[in-house]
Amino acid sequence: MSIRAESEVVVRLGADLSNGPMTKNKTPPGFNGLWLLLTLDLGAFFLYFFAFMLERQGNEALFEQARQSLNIWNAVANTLILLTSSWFVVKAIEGAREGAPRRARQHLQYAIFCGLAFAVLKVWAWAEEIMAGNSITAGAFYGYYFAITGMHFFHALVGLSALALCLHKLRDEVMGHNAVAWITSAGVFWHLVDMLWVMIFPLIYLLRAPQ
Amino acid sequence: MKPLLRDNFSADLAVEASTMKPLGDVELARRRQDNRDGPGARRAGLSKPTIVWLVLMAATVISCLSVGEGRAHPNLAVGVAVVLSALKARLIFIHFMELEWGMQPRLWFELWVALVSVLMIVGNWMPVISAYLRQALQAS
Repeated sequence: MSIRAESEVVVRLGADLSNGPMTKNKTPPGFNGLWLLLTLDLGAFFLYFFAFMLERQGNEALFEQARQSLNIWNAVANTLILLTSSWFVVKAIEGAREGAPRRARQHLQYAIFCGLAFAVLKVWAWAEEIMAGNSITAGAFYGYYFAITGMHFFHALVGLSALALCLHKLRDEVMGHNAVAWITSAGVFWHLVDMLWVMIFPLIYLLRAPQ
Repeated sequence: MKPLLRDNFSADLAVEASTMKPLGDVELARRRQDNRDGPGARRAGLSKPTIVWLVLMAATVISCLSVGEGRAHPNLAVGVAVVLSALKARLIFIHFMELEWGMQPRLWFELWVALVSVLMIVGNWMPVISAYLRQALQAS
């Protein structure tokens, strides 16, 4: 159902289509085209990962040397930050579903703060690499590193904008009838950003040639 | 004065209201806060998202410690890291994204996680696999 049609049913019949824990209809949360977009996005990232692993064949020593130059603790911190931001988003969605915009706003603010912390750490990591002389043209590994993390960073920025938009929609004490649909959609997209990073982290930072 | 419309409930409600104890200040403030925050705000114990989050954080720390510091054998560490990351991704799309088995994207997400994990493992062990295959083909 489109967001507008869903709101019609909510307003006219008082139906709960929010896909909360008691979901009886088997539609995933979020607006209609969202899951197609997410699935295609996953396909795109799979191709990037495949290209990276293909390039790695025969160049394991070079890739290992480049991997060692990366700051792994920055990436670990980023993983923990994104996981925490996802928890805040879940709590915000819960608050919105229960008709408590103040609680939803609070958790959304914390989630956005975590997202900004991720962005700062990522830019810091890139700056570290570039200042050490390893830019995007420094070799195959670095090319893929900047491209994959850059693509992910773009997704994170889009997700942050969506969360900020939801914050704006929840600004009143009375929630609009679309607010739950918006925040579940933005939340699902943010969880995708988190999920992608969870798979990017071992691919780039942890894979080591067998001994 | 007699009410214009009779109903069967008002009298019972009036009796019930008169027999209820008045709320103290603290309890009244608490209930006002609960009405503002919604029923989920005050829940005893850990909720499901919190448990999932704790497991995700623990898995991250374990996989990075075992590989990062070189404590475990590298082959085992890489295998553990890939498996743990696959399980973490599954936790995210099952519990955070609320993708249940009846929903269509679930299959695609499971497939993606499986394919990426296989890609990482096969890609990492490719030199060993190709050497083994070459040997097997030469022998035959």
